[in-house]
Amino acid sequence: MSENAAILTVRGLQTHFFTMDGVVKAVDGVSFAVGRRQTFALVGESGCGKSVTALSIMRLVPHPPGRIVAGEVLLDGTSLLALRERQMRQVRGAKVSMIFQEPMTSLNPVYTVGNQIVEAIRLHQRLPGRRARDQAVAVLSQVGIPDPAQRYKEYPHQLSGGMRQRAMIAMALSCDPDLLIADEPTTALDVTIEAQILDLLKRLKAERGLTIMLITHDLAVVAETADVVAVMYASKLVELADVQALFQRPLHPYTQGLFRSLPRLGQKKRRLETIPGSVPNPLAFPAGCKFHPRCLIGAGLERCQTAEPPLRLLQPNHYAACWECPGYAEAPAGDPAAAPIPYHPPEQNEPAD
Amino acid sequence: MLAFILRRLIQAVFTIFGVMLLTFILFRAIPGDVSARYVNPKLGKAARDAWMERHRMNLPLVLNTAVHVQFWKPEFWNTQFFWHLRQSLTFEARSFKTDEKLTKIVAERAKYSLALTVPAMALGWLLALVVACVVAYFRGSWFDYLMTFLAVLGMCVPYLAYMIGVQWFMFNVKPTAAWGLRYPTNIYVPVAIAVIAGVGASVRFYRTVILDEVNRDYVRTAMAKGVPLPGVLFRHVLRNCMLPILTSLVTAIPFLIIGSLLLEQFFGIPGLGPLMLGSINDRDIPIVTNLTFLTAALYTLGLLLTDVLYAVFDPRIRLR
Repeated sequence: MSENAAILTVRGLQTHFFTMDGVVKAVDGVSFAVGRRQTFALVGESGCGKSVTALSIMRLVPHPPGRIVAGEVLLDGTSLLALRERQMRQVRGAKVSMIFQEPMTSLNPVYTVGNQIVEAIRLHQRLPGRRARDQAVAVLSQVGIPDPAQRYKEYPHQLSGGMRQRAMIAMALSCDPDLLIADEPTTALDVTIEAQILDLLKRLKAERGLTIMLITHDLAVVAETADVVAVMYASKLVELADVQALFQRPLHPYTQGLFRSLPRLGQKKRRLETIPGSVPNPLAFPAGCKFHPRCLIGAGLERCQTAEPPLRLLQPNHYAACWECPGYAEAPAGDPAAAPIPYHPPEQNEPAD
Repeated sequence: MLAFILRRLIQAVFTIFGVMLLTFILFRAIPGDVSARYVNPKLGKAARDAWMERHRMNLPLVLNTAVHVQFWKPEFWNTQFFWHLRQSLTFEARSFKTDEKLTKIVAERAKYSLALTVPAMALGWLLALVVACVVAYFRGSWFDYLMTFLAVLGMCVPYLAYMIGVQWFMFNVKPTAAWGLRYPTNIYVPVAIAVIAGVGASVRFYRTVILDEVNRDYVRTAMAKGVPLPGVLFRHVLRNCMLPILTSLVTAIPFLIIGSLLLEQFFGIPGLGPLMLGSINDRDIPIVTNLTFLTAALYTLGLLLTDVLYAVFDPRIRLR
């Protein structure tokens, strides 16, 4: 298998919500490709459309009011948006799994953990009850749950938050999917548990050859786990690059603002910097570049106020959407969905013990 | 669990005693001479006294205060209320009117009531649940609006309008026997009316309950696992909705037993409903108090049963 093959390709995805107050364009023309065995991070503020992107891939956008109006989602070459609902159900849980932010509420409170995992297994594999049960216990132990046979019989409320998220991951992995979409998997957990869960995801990725699409607003989580990063702002991607390039030389003013607002070790500052203003109302996005009212560069520039910059390939494998980026005018458009951004994590970065 | 049930049973005894006392007092508070209905006044005072004596109507009402507060003496308790209570508890109560044993009357009539109310409740419940599930899942769609409209319409039309309408139809348009029990139509026509008249309110209530659950995260998780829609609704959502639904079912138990007063009256079904109405008119105290007793007892036990079922359906609930 070629190193560069995309497992997931999203092209021109548009998901709109038709509400009483008007059409909310939650995802408005998003394109990217996720390489096999990569961890692809989708970063953005709350409400920028990252979760809706994930739900669109799973075709779980609540309808009504939401609907995927345009675009293409290819999983291993299969167009997911063209599948019948029946066929799509066979994809969910078996080829693409999803874990969610709130492990407290994402498990059904009235069934045991084991029961819910067995349900997932038996939906996709013809297995007799005993073998499904053994498989569930095995997957529970793979995600690092101590005493899995006992936990199998317990209800979600009997587990701690971290254990519940592990159980969620076990359920998601029970049918050995190729792609795991993790929607803010650690947001509701405290920091020590967060580190454990991220380590678990890394380990599972290495052991199982899993591809992970990680949705988060936490740049620390991105730095910790991601290979490729897409930054989303107001329903669109504004920057797409591998994690090293993005962290070393962010091109888009929004990404730069995000990094400026992080605290740094050894730097004495009384206040953290912020990005001025707030996320625009999705019912009334500003004209031109949606970021211009908050932008340090483009706030007063006429072009930023009138025309929206498309994503362009500014450097090899580094896309950004900003008129004022150096070299933007000459840059080719490129196609972010054509091929995944190659990334090989540098081994020497790991400190030797 | 066992301690919980025992404690609740003891509480139930007090509740039912209270209900009995209240019914008795209310009924005796109605002015007028009860015996006048049963003894011809022309027979004179002796006959009336004999009747009063026989039905212990000459005793004090609730407590024999003539012996002051000497409650350890048996005469203190020798009163109408406690005599009726003893009759009820030993299943010896007899009707004032027919002098038949109450157990016999109820046994005979209950089967007609149950033949009407059990299918009506079961069908109505099932129909309401399925419709509510589907409607709640497709909330905001034209199907939801249509069903909500029909449900409200069904709720707005009074019970009587259905019965009068159907009887008019059966009498004028398609002559069918609509009275008594000789024809099977006479049981399923009222069953259909009970279902149609009751289903609207249930659909609305269940829809609200289910809507609370349909948006929960675990529903999304189930969908993301690839669970088909019926599995999501009936396996995942419904079990989480069981608590309010069970409660609403138990509150319908009196209807199950006493029957639908109007329906039985209109369609000439000799169930417990007409018995209750007739006995109130006849001031047949033993029947009224005992039917109330029966309803109260079943209702209280039903509530206890729901509490136990709560724990069965929801593992987070522990009964202590």
